[in-house]
Amino acid sequence: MEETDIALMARVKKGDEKAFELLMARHKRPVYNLALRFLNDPDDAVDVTQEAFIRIYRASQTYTPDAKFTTWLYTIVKNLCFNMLRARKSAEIASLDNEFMPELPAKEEHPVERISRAQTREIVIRAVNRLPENMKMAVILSKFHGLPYDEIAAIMGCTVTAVKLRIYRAKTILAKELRELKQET
Amino acid sequence: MRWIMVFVLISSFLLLQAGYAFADEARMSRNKLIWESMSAEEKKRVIQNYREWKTSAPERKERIMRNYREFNGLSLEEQQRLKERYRQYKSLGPAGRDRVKNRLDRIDALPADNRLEAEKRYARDREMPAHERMQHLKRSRFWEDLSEEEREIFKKLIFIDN
Amino acid sequence: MECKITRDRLPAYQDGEMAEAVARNVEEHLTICHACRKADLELKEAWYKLGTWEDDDPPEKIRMEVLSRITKQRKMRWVKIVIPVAAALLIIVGLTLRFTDLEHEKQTQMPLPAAPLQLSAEHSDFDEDELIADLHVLQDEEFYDTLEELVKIDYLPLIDGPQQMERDRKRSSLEVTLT
Repeated sequence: MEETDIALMARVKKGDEKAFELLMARHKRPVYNLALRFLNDPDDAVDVTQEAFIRIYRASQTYTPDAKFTTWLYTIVKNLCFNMLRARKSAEIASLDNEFMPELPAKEEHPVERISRAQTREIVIRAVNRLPENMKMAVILSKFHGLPYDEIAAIMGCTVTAVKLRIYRAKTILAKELRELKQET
Repeated sequence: MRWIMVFVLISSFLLLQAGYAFADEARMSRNKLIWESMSAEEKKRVIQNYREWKTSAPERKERIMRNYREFNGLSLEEQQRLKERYRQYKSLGPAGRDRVKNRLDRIDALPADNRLEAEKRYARDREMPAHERMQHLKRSRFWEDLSEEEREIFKKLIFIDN
Repeated sequence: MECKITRDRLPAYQDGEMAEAVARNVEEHLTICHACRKADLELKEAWYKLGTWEDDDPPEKIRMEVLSRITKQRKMRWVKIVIPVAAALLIIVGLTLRFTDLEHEKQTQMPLPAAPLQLSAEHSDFDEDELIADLHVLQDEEFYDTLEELVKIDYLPLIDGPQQMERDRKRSSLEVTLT
């Protein structure tokens, strides 16, 4: 019988490191992929994942299970992701002072053939990355983590209505982007 | 019969006290949890706040505690809306914030009757659905008077659910 | 016109988040409009296609790094306790020695006024428990300070003088006559 997250945290609280490792093993993959899809950089995603688990451990001493463990965990991850994004933006602004604007990615030359799955994947990644951050996060949590709207709202710190609006708008934008990007290839 | 009433009174009083203590305990342990999970940087910021808090005038502390209580009395939707507005407000930068404060000063300068009117309209306004509220806003004299720049600013602050 | 409205409603419609009457409108329009049916399909397809973006395997180093930083932190915590305690002990010992020296001199000189031991201010102005007790306010102190302004913003469109009230009164009476 698999132990629940809350049971494991209770053990971690008592100093059981093995329990923490189990927790990490269980949630490492979704956390990493959440960060990776949002930030689109494996190194940044690794940093976020590490930091998230360290914070969980740090807080384990005073942990009281008043909400779902994953909601808490994903809230931490979401905050770290947004922080990372902000840090990136200010770094970009700082560096652009002395340089010309970075070039737009060159249009790729694709031979005329049926759109392969790998190409669709490429297009999908580009389309999602063009979404504004809040929409992007809501889409990732909904589609790739299968979370219900109320949990997404708890994680993102907004209303359920806002979540629905973000996802609906995102769907419309994605359909449009997918169509346009497909035409470019 | 009388003794039963006395018993009920005393035990309900004790329960109430316990309830407060329990709520305090719960808040204390939740605060501890949040404190423990903060990074060194965040802790530094809070400690800074704490130092200022300790040296604040009691009126300021009163005001802030009152705001805290009122805020927690609002619906979740309202709370999120105000938080989002705060984020936008912070992102405006000092120049933008000054613009906003200029406009807000006009409210303080209102004579008492207009204030009463405004309170009534506020209550009505709160019960309107969002799109109707937006229409009213766009039709208001306030909106017409704004410069293009100020409109951008207030758009960010008022149209939150975007 | 109908198409634009329908397309705006499609995501909510697909989600089942719609009043029956409105949903029926959408359905009816979809049965007669090929372009909107296409848009409806595109929406579903786009969401479905997201599934081509599969998960990646998290690198193994994550686990090692987290575990090593945790043990490092534990050691650091020890250090943070031991060093200040050792420092405090040294100070106490040092000061005690100095005072015992003074005690000697006292017997041969004027009596000195008793000086209270003043430890470094660093340790005494930060009461963690007090901070934690008020953390719920302190965390967002700036926010609560600004709260009144934030709420006032909602009043701005409502406060114009008698002119606005006149226009409102006229408008609302007009609306009453029109409905």
